Amino acid sequence: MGAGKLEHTMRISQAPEFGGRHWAGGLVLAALVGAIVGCSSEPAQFELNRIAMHKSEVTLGANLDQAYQIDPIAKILDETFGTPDEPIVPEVPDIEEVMDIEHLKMAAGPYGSDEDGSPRGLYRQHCVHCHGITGNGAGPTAAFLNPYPRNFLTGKYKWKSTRTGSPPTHDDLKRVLVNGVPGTAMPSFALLPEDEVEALVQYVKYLSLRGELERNLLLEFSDLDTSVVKPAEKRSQEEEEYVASLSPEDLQEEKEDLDAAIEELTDPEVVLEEFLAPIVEGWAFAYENVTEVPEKPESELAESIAAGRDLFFNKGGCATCHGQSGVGDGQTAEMFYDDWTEEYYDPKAPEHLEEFLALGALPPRKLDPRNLRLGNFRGGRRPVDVYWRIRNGIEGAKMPAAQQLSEEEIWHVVDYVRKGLPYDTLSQPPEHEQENVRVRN
Amino acid sequence: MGRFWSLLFLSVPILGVMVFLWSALGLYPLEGHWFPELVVADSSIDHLFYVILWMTGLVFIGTGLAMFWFLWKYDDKKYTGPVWYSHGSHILEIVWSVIPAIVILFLAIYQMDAWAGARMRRPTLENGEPKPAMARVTGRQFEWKIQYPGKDKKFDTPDDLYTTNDLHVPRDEEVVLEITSEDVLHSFFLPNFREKQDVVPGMKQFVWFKPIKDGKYDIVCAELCGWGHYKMKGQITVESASDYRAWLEKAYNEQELSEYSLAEAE
Repeated sequence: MGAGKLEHTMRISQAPEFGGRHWAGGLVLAALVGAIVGCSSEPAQFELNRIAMHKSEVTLGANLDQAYQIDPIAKILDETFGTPDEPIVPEVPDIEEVMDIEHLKMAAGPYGSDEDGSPRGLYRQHCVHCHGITGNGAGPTAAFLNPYPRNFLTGKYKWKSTRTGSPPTHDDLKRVLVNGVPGTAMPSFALLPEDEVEALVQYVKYLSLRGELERNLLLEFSDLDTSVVKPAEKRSQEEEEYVASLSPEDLQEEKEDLDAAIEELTDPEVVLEEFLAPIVEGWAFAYENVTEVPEKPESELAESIAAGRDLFFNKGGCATCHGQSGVGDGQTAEMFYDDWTEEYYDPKAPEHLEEFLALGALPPRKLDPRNLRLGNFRGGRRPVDVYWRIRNGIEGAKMPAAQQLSEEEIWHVVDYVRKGLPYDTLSQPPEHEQENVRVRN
Repeated sequence: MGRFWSLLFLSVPILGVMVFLWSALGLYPLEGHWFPELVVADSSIDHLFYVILWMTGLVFIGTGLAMFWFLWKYDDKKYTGPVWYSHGSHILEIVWSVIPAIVILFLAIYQMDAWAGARMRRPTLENGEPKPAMARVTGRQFEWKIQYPGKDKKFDTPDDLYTTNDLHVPRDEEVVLEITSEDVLHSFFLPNFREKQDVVPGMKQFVWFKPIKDGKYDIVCAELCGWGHYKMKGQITVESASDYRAWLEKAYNEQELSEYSLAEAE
């Protein structure tokens, strides 16, 4: 077909011109651009816990030194735990009770599957958009959720059978994954195969261990006085005066001491034995800290509910926070925030908040006592779950352990909370208005 | 190249029909592209689907062949006769208005029974009262919360059973479900049951079906409800009435677990 003929047909048919060479050229160009830009992305990296670092800077009143404090921590973490694509199981005693490399590899890495079809990258498939690649609970969707997703880095968990201060057991974490957390954005993963749930539970532990090691290292490293090696512009005034007061020999000696201290702290054996092993031990033997639940005594339900009601309002003191009608509208004159928020936000001294928000902290939200009339039990609705909540309190939240109640009394309160309160969906109190913590311009 | 366009147009009905046949037969690589197995007694939805598929299929083939024939017959290179302009033909316009109108009217009347069966004729008890819901299914970002009323057959009482993403129903019984949403629009979709109902917050709706085949089937969300829509998936288990009751009892006992010792946990 000649060019003239082509023009002729085009005019008659009024077809839009999709001129051959330009079109093909554009395609080639697009493919080239795609190959260069789009198809190669940086491998995922763990982020440093900038919030905890800044917290210690605020406490110390001095900057952490990049070369002497921040870089060594990052290096130790990389050597001990690997990267999000290539996890490492650190060699410490009892680690096999906590995790194994096969399961970690199922959960780690980019989403996909192996040649034999076994899944890979489960964490990035299911969890990362809320909990974040490092497990800091600040993934891309986190800011839109209320409550915020759990930050794994502190190793603290709410819905567990163990007493406050102890890590949760394997079954506790598994139950949360399988059942979800009703009333929050955490969905149920009941349909995942057993093996995949196992992999994710282990990966959550992995992120917690890593986060806890990072915090412990940070404590050690922030104790070091790095004023002698800091660039002059990074020094605080106090540090500047201190450095100026030293003779050149003293200065040299201080530097050598510091080098020696860092060398000792970064020794892999020291890291594993002194810092990581105690954390792993806590996780490996979490079962020893489980609060056993004695068998529920036989009792008439109505009587038990009546007794529980009395305890709720009087001896138990539950109504103080959960309110006269149980909708969570009690007197909470104190500004309540959970531990994960209080890490960077002190309601009595909010002046540093902007700095933390700039580092990626989520805007603080007040902690509301639970509305007990929704029929939602975040940590599970089984009597044992509610028993644990009352007996041990809720770690990280302000719910205290009910030490003043006997076992039998707790069972009465459990009955009252589970079966004595009316369920009604209209009982939700008006949305809490967020404090205007940021001064608007 | 004169015949090229006419042959190209001919390939449309041929390829179109082939793709349909290929996937209906489930041949490689189109396995699983046709309906999933039907596991309820009522096949009226499938029947309607096939009636409409045949009708539209015949129109599709006819249109394709007519296009081909015109292109072939009036090819610029071969055809030298005069051109007949059909624009404004009264008879043609009547034909292509009246025939589709009859077809659509037929469909409108023909489907009424299936619609009534799915939306109006809720199963009744022996005394003529509408059958109460066997379970309440609540859509929530991003899971299906399921609540059974328990022994007293009333919702929101202490003996209710709560599960997530795990719905069990007895075989060979009319099952009525109450469908609600806790947050946003969802759509409760049971592909094997040919059941799909938009879930609207603030609205209580009922769906019903009679499963006839044991097995585990999907519950999926068919309305984009947020970033986690893809993972809003549950499972419906059809089992014999006795298995169903045994499961209810077991799940309730698990929910009422009121003793925990380490010896048992391990």
